[in-house]
Amino acid sequence: MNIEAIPVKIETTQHSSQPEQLVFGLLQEIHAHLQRLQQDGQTFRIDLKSLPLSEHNRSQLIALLGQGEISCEFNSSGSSRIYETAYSGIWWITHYSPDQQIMAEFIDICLIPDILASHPDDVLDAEKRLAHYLKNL
Amino acid sequence: MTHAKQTLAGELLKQGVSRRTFLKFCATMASTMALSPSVSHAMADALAKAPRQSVIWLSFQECTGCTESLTRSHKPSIESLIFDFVSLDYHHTLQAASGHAAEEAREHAMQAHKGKYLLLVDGSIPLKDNGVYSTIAGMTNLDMLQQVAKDAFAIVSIGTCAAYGGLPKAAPNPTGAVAVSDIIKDKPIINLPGCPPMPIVMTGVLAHVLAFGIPELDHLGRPKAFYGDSIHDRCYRRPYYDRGLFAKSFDDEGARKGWCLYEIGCKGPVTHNACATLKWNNGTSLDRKKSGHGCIGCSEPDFWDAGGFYKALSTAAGNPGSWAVNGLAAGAVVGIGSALINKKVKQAAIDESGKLTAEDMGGQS
Repeated sequence: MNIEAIPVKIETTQHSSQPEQLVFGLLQEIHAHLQRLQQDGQTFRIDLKSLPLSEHNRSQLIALLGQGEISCEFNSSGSSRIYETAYSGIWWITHYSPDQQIMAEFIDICLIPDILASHPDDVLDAEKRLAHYLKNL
Repeated sequence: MTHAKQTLAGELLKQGVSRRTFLKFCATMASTMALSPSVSHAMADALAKAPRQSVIWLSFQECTGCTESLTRSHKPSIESLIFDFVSLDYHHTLQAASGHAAEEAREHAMQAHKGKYLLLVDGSIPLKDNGVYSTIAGMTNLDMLQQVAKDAFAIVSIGTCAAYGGLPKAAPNPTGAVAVSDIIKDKPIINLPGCPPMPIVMTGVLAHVLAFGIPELDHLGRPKAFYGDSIHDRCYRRPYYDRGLFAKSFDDEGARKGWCLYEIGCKGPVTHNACATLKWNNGTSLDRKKSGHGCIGCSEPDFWDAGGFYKALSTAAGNPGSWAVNGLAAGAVVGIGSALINKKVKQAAIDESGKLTAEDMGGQS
């Protein structure tokens, strides 16, 4: 067995200061939703733009939640970045405009954010396109 | 041209807009309009199943700035996606047809979607001399508005001209310009003032109307989601206002340090618009103040006659010895006081109807 075979999980970075009041409160809320997800599968979304988070609060929250194993980029009408934090079930989603301004930002507590899953309508369309391609080979 | 019974989602897919992009649009719009996050799914479902909405856009006494605001994007953006969602059946600047063909397209859409089309209006409507000062295809704006409004399900007045009369209505109002709501009294009207309004506001409101119907409106008919806060309440220069640090003229030391622009005419305390929280010019301009110019109050009625862009709110027009001149009261009281003073100032300015001089702009001649 070589060293690459050992799985690695990125832990939260050590933060020297205590989380500020707002961040602490938010983490408590996130924890409560994570409990509900674990117990009865209930998902929840927090809209970060609806909260009076300063840049410092936001950076602190990002640092405290850390980064997990999965990071995705979605490019349509501006890019979007979706990653799982160091806590499974807590996902961070940022939607950017084409000029890299943050249009919307969410924390989704779920097994997988819906935006990552393929939509049945898109799958239907894809099936037709592939069938057409194969037919014309 | 017929509208198939295709759903909106189906139409979008044909244009290469995936359901995933659609979901991103709805999530972003819900967040922008401060709707609960769970609403984005309801919005996506409602919009996806909807038939493609017919929209007729009438342009009257306008400068085309509102259309420019909505369409001036170098790359496909979330804001411009709204045009993919609707069937824009008539629009002077954007439609391919012209002349009789254009008018026929309008009449056809009105017939085919009687009672169901959405009417968007930009520009004010002149009434003087039987409305002869603005006509389209030989028809006065007044007649066209009344004719098209009759079978619309709702009207959106885009820009301050359509919402409140705007520039054409400014003193002395030579054409007798009025707002849409001064003429149409029997249809729901949403006012989206601004000179021009922000693109995201237009998009958000249209998306809301398509998915859920008319949003909650304030006393001036503006959606509360976008016009609920005053510029002053959300201004990033507010800490300087609170500490009494004001720029006295453009490019002085205070101006260079980014101090409050109250004394050089900022109308932020009496203006409600989304600029302070949402950004103009793709994030480079946090409303005018980031460029060093005070708010001109462009989303409020009669802002052109509000006493001058460079006169402080607390200054009464043409009356330097009056009680209002030195009203630089500390704290939030000024906001309310200024609104009352401003009404007096506006009326005086309308009466005066003076021209802007170099003196007005800070005494530099």
